[in-house]
Amino acid sequence: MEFAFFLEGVAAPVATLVVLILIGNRFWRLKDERQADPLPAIACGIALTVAFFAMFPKTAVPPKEHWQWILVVIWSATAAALIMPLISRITILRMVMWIATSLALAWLVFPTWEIFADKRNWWVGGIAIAIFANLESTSHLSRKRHGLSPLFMVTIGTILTSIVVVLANQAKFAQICGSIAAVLGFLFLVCLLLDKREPIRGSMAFPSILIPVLAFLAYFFNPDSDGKSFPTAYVLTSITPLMVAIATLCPMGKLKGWKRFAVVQVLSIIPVAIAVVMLLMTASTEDPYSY
Amino acid sequence: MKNMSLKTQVCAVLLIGICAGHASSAFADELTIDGGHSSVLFRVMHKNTAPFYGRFNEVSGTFTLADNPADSSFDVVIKTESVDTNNKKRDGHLKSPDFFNAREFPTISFKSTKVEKGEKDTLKVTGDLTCHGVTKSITIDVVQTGAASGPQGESKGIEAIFTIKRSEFGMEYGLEALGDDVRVIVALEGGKRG
Repeated sequence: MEFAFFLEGVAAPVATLVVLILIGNRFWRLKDERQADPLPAIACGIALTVAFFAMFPKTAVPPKEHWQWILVVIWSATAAALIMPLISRITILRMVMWIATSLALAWLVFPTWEIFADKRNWWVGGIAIAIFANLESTSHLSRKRHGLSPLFMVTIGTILTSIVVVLANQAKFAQICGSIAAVLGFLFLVCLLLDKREPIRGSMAFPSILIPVLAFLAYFFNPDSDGKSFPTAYVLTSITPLMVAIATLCPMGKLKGWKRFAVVQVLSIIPVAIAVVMLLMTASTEDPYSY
Repeated sequence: MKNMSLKTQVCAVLLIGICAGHASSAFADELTIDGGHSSVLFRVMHKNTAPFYGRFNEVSGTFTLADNPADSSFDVVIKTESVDTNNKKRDGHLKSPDFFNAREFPTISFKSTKVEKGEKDTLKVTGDLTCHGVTKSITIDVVQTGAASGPQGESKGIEAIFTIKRSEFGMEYGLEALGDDVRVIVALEGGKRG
């Protein structure tokens, strides 16, 4: 089963991503690095779509099960990744676009089940705020040159998110998180090798949208969720891209080089690491063996 | 009645009684499933090595066993949330979208569409089984296991053992580790609701 996941969820999307970037980079080079490069966004979007259909080949379009809307979220994230560098400096347009995107996606992924119906507006609002905060903060990252480190940090954050969703009994969502982490991680490596230092112009839209969506869906599908208590661990997980942006943008005094990198790295994953610890502490301990 | 002789009155009462008896057998009573004395088990091969059993703890519905099999009917509902394999983590995974997707599909149901006489005390029951949002017509053998009457009224028992492929119901997760064929054992006791 693990090998099947490696082939479908990691190898297939990573191969797709690498081939698309290499081909794209061969035939289509930007003359000015300040321009928005759509190649990483398109490659990530296609790679994640390949992963989704490789792992879940019987996914219906339009979806028959609520979780299958994740595919539409992936396509929405691709669109957001394409426009992010273009609108990052136009404040009003950017705000309008991100508010509309956040509300539409929150409405799309919120399930209409009775257990969560009482606080529907709160849930939709909460998901929308998390997505908006991520998109808005990572848009600021795409204004200046920050190199590849945010991409590396958000890859680690996505790996930790997969642990959060596993602890919520959602192996399917953990597989999707694994694919996202693999795609972002290899985008980091490929861009490092090609000396293509600004792929975060747009690519950060993927974790900005997908991490909160997967975290909240894991909460909604978790049989232990009662719909009443505040989902602290899932909220902390969903703001991982926001924390990456804050940690990258905040001044670090005289810290430079690997020391700065290490401090920024630790800062950015603190909330999601707390979420993992919280869920581990409440996880069932009655099972003496692994099933 | 005033002018009737005692003999005529007795005959009338007997006639009514006989008619009522026939009526009750021709139009058998609907029995309500007693969840406390009914079981729904499933058996699946683990790593193609050993069979593993799990159960659903909440089953409800009604069934009718008529003298004429065609008048019999079965309407059974199982709560997906009640899946129990003696391991909380595994139960949580079984309730997730990888398997039953209990939040989205809270029940598994079977509703008969045609009942025929089978061999000996069995009935050949065709019906719609809905699981994981997928409805398929299946035909199963239902054995009438017994009947009893006591202070709480009449009760009857049935048992059905049949095999389905979980992949046909959209549950393809981990087919390498957990078999596709799922043997389902349903034992129901139903009584008249008083």
